Amino acid sequence: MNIEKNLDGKFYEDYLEQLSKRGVVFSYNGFLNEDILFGIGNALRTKMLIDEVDFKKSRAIFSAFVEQVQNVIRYSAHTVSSQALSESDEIEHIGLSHGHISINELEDGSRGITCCNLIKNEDVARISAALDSLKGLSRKELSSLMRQQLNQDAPEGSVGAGAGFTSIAWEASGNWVYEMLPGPTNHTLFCFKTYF
Amino acid sequence: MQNLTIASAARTPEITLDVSSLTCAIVGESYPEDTLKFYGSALPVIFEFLETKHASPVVFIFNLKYFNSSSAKIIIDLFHALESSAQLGNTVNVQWHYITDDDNMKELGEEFSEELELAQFALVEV
Repeated sequence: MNIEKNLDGKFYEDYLEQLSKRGVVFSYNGFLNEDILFGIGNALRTKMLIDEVDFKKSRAIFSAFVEQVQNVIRYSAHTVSSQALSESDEIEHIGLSHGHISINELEDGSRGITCCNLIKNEDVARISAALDSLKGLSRKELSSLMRQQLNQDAPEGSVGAGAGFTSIAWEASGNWVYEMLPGPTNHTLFCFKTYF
Repeated sequence: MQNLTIASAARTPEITLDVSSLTCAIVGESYPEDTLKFYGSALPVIFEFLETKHASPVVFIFNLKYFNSSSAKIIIDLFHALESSAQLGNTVNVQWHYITDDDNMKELGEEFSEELELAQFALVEV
């Protein structure tokens, strides 16, 4: 395919129609960083302000959004970085993580936040077990578990507080689902959705 | 002991410590790009303040509209320092502010307060 000449409008028409059918109002796919999180997060808040979503609900949705996107930034197995630039004096870390974010809204006012990123096959069992252990827990059980996790040192391989998923499950009051789909060599596509 | 004033920014809260009134406050939102880096300079000053014996009550105000789970880790650490300060003999009053109807933020305060025994804890609806 000639990247310069072939606009291929039909592809974009089909793609946008697919998104529209699902009520997607924000969609980002590709390399992302904290600036993308901040930018989309602000736009999401503005949209909820315009739609007069009450503060309690919009705070919970924003909270889930931040935790989900930070998970992609921190744990996506598809990343690019520059050691040379990172070692220069002025820049601390030059890196980007690849992933997908979409936010959809349905006519009944419900909203969903979906993030997808590649993970290594060897991490699938650990992440699945961690998520499955949260299923069916009450809000009080989730908040107690979150406090317990915050009291512990962060688990190996985690750069956050180790309470991210528990915090998301609590904010979404148990309304979350995930899927693991076969990805390219030694990788799995991890999709996670919260709905409010 | 030194006073502390860190202005709020888009993703980080205002942090103030007024030694004369023995009042420390964290106000705003907290989801820093690098949580440890943001709180790194403030925490030692606050910990030193809490580890000192004071003749009058110490007041610590959490007035956060939103914080992420990495910031929650810092908050739990602060709760432990507040409880230690109370065990040292200080009268410690912890105020947890939450916006009316934001049950989640209220519940989080109640949950975190289970870390406290001697330090006094109050929910403040704003």
